Amino acid sequence: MILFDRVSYRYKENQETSFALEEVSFSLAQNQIIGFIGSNGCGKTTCARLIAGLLKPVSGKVTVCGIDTASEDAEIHRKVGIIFQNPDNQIVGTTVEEDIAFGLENLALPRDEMQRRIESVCRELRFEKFLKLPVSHLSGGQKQQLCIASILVMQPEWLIFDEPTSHLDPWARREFYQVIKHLIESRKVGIIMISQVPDDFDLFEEIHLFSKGRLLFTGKPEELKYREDLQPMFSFPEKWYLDRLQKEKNDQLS
Amino acid sequence: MINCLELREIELFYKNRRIGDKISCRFEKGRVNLIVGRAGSGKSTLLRAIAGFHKEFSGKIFADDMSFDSEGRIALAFQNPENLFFNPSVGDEVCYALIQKDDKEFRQKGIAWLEKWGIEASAFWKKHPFELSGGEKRKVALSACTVLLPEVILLDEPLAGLDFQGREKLAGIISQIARDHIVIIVTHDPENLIDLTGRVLFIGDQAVEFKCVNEFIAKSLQEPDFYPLPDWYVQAMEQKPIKKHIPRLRAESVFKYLQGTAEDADYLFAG
Repeated sequence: MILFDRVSYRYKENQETSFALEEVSFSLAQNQIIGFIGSNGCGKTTCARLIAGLLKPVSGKVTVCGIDTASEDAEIHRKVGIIFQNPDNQIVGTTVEEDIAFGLENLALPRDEMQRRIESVCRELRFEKFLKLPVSHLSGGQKQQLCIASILVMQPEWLIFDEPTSHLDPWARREFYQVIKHLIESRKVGIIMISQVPDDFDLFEEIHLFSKGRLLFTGKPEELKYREDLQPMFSFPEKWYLDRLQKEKNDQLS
Repeated sequence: MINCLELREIELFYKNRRIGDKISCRFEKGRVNLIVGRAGSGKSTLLRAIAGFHKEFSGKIFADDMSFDSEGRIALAFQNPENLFFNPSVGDEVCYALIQKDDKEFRQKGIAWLEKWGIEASAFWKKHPFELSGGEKRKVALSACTVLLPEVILLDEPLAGLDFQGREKLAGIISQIARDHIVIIVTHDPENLIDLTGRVLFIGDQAVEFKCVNEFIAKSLQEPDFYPLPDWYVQAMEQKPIKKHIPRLRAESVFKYLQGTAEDADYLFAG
């Protein structure tokens, strides 16, 4: 469970009155895929960084799996894994295996346990054939899968994706959706996805819509789809618009 | 002004390794031209070759049937061009290239061009570029990259990283500019641009294809592995056999198409 209790945050360079996030409260249950959506600068990435313990709230409290993220407890970094937009920014190994093992080496795990975890995650993601390859041989989509593998071996309880499909070509995006659907089915990890790509919205079971540092909506995509009052805050996907037109037509006919 | 930029049998090389097949196509003024394909297929390298930055290629480039020299006639904006800001104000950034050229009318030209990219010069001229929002930064950067009014404008992923509303606005501005300039865009996310596109160059593993946007989308619908379109569009189009004219990638146009009430404006450009 993740809890936000009246959380505010502002970046240092901004004015005292200019908040990146203002008095935001919500809770996230682990057994679903949650979408954080909203325009540029709305506060969704700030929220993700607060959850991952990379930022500390100016006021209010963020609790992840019972740990207060302001408590300097390093355990928080094991509970939450974050995958940034550009996979190149978080790959540190020269080979795939080296990169996946990097985090585990820092945990000082026995060699057998490390090997077991690496093999298990790579089997799950169907990534075994890449293990011995140099990371430079991977495509953009494969690099992203490598980042997911490197985080999953740490056995986090939450995975956060920050605009994961914005750097991918349409083919790699399809591959990524397959991996995510598999992760959702396995239900081993809670998933938060920050996104502005309309195709991503089909994955979400719950949506949090942010605007100018405030949380405007929390609920099911089906509910948000018909909230015309919120449309000016965010351009809804064409798919939703088509569903609405078809529903109006059906309502007229009936 | 050039009306048509033609690539004849261009073969790209990177460190002596050939990238893909020979490319032949004609990019025209009036509507946006797109280059699409998988990551690593050579899209950006082709853009750099047209701009004259990448020299490892064979074949010829012609402008209106004359041999094309890119010097002074072309502008190339790289991905995330706002990362290259180096002036203390928006005005200095936009006018930099004009001042280097000793253009005495740099201020008037800079203001006019900035406004064409949708930035109100009076409000932004003295601002530091880092004070702007993501969308504003992108527009200022693209404006600065193209301020010498070249005949050919090459843009590498100009919409990447912007929110949906920002993408829609910028796509509209680029479309306006394409009326008077040859605009060629590399993108892996063409959804906002397809409606404004004339022709598409597809660089695939097996073949290179150059098609009118209508034919490109028709082929993508008929052969799902050719180019993945948004799922909602593919699913909606499965409800009706594909005809000669294909609706735009907009819910309203697709809805009208399915209802049989689509008008000319609901269809993609068919040449």
